[in-house]
Amino acid sequence: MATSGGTSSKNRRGVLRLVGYVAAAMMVGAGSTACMSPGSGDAGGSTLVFAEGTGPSSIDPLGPGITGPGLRAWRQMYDTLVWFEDGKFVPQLATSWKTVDPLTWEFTLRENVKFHNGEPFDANAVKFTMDRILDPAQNATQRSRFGTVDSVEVVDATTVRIHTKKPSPVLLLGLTQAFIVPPKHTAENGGKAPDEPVGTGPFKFVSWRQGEKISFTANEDYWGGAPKVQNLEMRVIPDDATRLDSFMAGEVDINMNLPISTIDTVKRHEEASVMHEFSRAALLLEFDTTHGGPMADPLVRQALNYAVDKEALIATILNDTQRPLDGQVESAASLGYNKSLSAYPYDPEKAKQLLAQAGYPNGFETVINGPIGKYPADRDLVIAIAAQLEKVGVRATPNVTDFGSFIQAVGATKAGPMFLIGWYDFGDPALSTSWFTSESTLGQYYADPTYDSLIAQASSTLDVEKRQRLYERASQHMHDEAMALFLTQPAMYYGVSKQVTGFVPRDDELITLQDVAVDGEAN
Amino acid sequence: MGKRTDVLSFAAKRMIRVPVVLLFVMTVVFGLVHSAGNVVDQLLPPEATAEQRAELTRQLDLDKPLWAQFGSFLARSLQGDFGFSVFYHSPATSIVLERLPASLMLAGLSIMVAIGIGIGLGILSAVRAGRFADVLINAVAVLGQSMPSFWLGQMLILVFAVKFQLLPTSGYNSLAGLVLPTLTLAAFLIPQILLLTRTAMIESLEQQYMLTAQAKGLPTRLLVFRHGLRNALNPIIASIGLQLGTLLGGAVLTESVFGWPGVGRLGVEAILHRDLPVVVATVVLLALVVMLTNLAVDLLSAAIDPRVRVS
Repeated sequence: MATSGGTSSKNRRGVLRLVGYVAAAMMVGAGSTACMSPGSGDAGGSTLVFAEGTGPSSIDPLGPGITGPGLRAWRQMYDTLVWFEDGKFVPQLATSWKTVDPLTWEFTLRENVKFHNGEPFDANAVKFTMDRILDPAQNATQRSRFGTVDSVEVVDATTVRIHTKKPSPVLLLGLTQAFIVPPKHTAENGGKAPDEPVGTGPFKFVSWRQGEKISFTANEDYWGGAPKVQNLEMRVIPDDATRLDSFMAGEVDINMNLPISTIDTVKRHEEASVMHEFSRAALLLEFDTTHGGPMADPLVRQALNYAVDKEALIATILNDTQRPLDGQVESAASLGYNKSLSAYPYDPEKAKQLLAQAGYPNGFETVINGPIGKYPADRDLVIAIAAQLEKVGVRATPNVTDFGSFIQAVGATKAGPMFLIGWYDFGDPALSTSWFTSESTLGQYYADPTYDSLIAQASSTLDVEKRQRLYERASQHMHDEAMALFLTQPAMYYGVSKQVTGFVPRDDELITLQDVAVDGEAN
Repeated sequence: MGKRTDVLSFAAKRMIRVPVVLLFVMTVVFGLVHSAGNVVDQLLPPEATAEQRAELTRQLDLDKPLWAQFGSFLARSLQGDFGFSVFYHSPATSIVLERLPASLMLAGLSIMVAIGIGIGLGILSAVRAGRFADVLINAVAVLGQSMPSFWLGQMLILVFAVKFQLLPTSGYNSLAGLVLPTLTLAAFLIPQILLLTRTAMIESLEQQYMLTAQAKGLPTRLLVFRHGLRNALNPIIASIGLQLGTLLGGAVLTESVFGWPGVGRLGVEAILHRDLPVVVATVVLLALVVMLTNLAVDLLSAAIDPRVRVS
């Protein structure tokens, strides 16, 4: 008993000592950050810290499942042949391009560009990248953008031709997401995405920790000029409140996706400002028009458009952070925006009249499906819309679930009779209009021959003027037939530190950070 | 001699339980995954063709009878193969293992801090039972126990990171980044350890042998620690062992608030992404860690208190 008692007290002292060490280590750690100025990293030079709620799902810039966060992150270290700015395509690794014939595009490449590991950029790198994207085994997200591409031909070291099976007006747009990767470096890794990826972009890769942060350092030799900061950190802080706290404490310089309720708090902060840009996106209710019921009748769909007070939703639920759609999916900056259209006014009397005309004088029962936590205040919107429909006799049950289950139901054509969804246009109406054709890859909710034919024509002509007219007619038809309940054009809000200059929000949310500077920090 | 065989046979008995419980866990997980709907629909994009569906159905053995599917699930799992993550596009096991150290570190540190503070204050409270210090400590403990961790975490961030800027708000970069999440998690454990220590100590201090020891003229410090605490330690260790599971998997809120890249957050995000392979890998691996720590706690209790070995 006595001996074992001695052992036990020795153990206990051991534990206590360990706790002491940990406490001491924590104090030292705390002390060292206290002297660190906010937002600064461990490496020397100025550091820009960008934060959002999610990060890339994989280190492969040409892998599967690449969404906004991935496109945003990898854009900082990779270049593409062309880029999209202020509504037009601008040169990046291609200095010029032309169509030799409707099925052949020729690109002249920028000379003397090197990857971060010294590997030269040339026509072979472009062909390697495009072949990698088109290889079904690679399962690249970008592959769906190049469905019409037949082959890629190296003409000489600085000339590449892309041959398409049919005229592809959206080829250039697809190329803005085709991150050019180095052939040799990738091959050395057995063809898998390297753990130490290299690109030609303004920033060089340093490290990545899944769900935590990506660190970059400046590429001083960038062909477009060195970035304004030495280091770039793209952090993932999932909790909105904590991301805001990190921003308020000065650890984060740019805080993407401010929740509606915090915008005023940030505006009041002396060291910060709020910037925003309306997105090339449309939030709307889609109808299932192909399975009978009230939603198959255009009169009912028009009635529902008149029955919802968009302005009131924006003023009360969305704190005036969004604006109403102009009775169409496209917004003013988009090709295919129809200037002569405007939002369905709020007119409950007219709605009742149309419902009576359609044979529903006493309304009907229906369901509004929607996701939770995908769009700002999505759940509240669905509930508020249901309440507004009630006033014209349409008794709608709000049914909201997590986005995973929701999008599965949408894909399986089980989200009808109507559901809340947001569609991005990414610079061209080809994608955002595809959901309303019978060719949609996400559920079969529409089968309108007029609309189908307009979209089919528009997506196979290269003449921009002609496409504009075709998409305008498609918008008009969609408005008249009330193929959706048009709600709002969302906006993305950023908290930006006053020390940051040169940050420009983009309507496609694919911000670039090489021209952003952080001043006033003696780090 | 006898003591040694005692310990060994006790350890052997406890170790047999591990595979049995694990089999039970895997059965439940398999059942849940199968009731979650068609896996093929979840894995394939909506535009997938009928051939792609059939191909994947064959690959996943979904065309076989249920018992055969369960068998191959067990066989694959034993080799550490829980399938391919739908969201991260890499093996589910490696994703969970990559996140595990962050969680283990946070849980381990929190337990140490909680033990230090909880037992320390518990003893103080027991020795001063009924007096001011005891009442104060008890009040704070009750308050601590009723504070939700996401709220406490936010408050700690506001005070120490935003107001005084002594510590970073979130992240996994430095030792300093550990302080606030550790305190938040520990705050959840401390009241329980503290109250348990207090009760066990008061009971232990009232025992006859304490009177004997006191009569022997032992100094109070020795009296409290060697005789009192040693006898009170067993229920405390047992309860800490039980809390480990909660700390690892249940640290979801704390991990989210502090942007901590641990398994709790991974598991919840995997559920939201419908990433079933990662959900399964998280649950099974966490179950394994919890069982192994419980085994370690059992063995430790047996080493400290011979009565445990016998019963």
